[in-house]
Amino acid sequence: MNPTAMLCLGIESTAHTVGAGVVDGRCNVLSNEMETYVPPEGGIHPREAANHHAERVVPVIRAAVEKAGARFSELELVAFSQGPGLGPCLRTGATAARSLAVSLGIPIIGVNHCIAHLEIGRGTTAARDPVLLYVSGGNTQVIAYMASRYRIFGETLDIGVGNLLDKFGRGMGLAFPAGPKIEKSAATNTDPYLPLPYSVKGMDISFSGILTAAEVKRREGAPASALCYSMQETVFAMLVEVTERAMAHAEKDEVLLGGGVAANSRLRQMLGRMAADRGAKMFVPASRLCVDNGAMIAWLGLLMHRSGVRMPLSKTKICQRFRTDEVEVAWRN
Amino acid sequence: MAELNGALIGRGAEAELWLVGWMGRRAVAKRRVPKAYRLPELDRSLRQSRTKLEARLLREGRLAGVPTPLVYDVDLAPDSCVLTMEYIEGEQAKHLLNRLPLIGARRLSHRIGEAVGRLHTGGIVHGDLTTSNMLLRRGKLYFIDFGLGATTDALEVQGVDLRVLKEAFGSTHAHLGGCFDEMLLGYTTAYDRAAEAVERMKEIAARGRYTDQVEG
Repeated sequence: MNPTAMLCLGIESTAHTVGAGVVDGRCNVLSNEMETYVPPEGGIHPREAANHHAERVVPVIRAAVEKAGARFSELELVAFSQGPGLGPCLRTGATAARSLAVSLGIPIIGVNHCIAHLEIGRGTTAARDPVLLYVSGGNTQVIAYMASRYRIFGETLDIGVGNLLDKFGRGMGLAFPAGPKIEKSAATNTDPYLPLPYSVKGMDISFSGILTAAEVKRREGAPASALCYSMQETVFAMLVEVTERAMAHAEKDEVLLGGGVAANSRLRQMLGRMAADRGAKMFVPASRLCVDNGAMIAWLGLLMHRSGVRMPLSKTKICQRFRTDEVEVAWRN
Repeated sequence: MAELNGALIGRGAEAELWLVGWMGRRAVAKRRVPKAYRLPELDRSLRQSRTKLEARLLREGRLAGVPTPLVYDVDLAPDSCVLTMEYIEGEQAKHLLNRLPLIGARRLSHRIGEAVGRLHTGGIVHGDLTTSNMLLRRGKLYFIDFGLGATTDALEVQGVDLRVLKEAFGSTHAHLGGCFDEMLLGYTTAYDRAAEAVERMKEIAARGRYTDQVEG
């Protein structure tokens, strides 16, 4: 069997998004389908999101296989997000993956969602050994490879940055996902910067104080655009600072951006400037590969499979608190 | 921005270290460089407040009984933010621990622990307790680089301090049997709440952060 021709279907279902993608052994993304659960109001309810995923996972998988121009019988591997994520959501994806593997008689492999964000960046951009700034709703981590593991060099001590932006947006009547609306409002701002708590603790960051402070300023009548602007400037500066620290510490000269918040152009601009100023390079995967998606799961599954990782069905239990540094990285030297 | 008059001896993510002359003495100038990626007003206030904090921690550390470089000058001009301090021409504990016979290494570890205990008693956490941030000069053990430090009594932060130090002992001085425990003994003699802080250190390790090994 030619390993570069091997087709893998990846299933993603850690949080809001259920996705499926087909990738070949050269990291060509043949398809990448997804559907996102939008709560009618408030934040995500894990069981309702899981119900959505359960309804949509089969059509999404079918669409992925069809768009890839493949037949189910041509798939040789199925990969799924094993964690970290919301239990009910993860279980939906894992169940779909197991049924598919059993019915097609092909191997199954559970992968770490955070590492998938990094590997799809290495697979589809020119980045070789980057520090990943992974910014999404639930996750905010700075990850880099060191001594045969992906290590977390910095992370949020409370909530993810996307979650922060959503909560902040909700207070101002902006619907989920609030990030793009905040970005738009910030771009129109002409008022001065409003200082907000800047909380970097060594390599870690904390967001809880900033939310309260912004809320207080809002009640005091601060204009929405000035709040959005100040929120972005403060929070992104924190993210870029810890990323730079990790780059200096790990001695890396590439930085990769991943996760849904990677779509924000101000964050890209700031990260790119930091990289340029230290003679480093920034890479950002295509936007459908930055958000939660099945293609990145498929690609990491392929990498792991090729390095010899095999998973019997009994080892495919989901792991809600699956840590990035738990995975033995056998596919890199 | 003008370069400082001296030799660049180090560069971190946040600051440059220069070896400079100050009133006829050799001194270290730590300059927090402006970061163009963030808003100028935010950048300025961060660099100024951190420079001030570090100057204060160096002083308070010394008052708590831990030798630190004397601060000669604090310059908060918006485009410079330079902390000029005594140049400690000493040997890094990192090298000493590897060079000394085990009994000497244990004795030094004990002293390191005492010093950390004094800092914590004084309500100071260092934030980056590696053995390269400790220098021995004429029998005195100096602690340097309080750039990530804070004034706090929080056990959690003290636990992280110990955890970082344990990591340093584990990765750089793995062959030194008993030195980390000896360090903890010294810590216990100098700090009333040592037992609680050590317990917290273990909890933090179990959470899987600040660790080289996957536990459990």
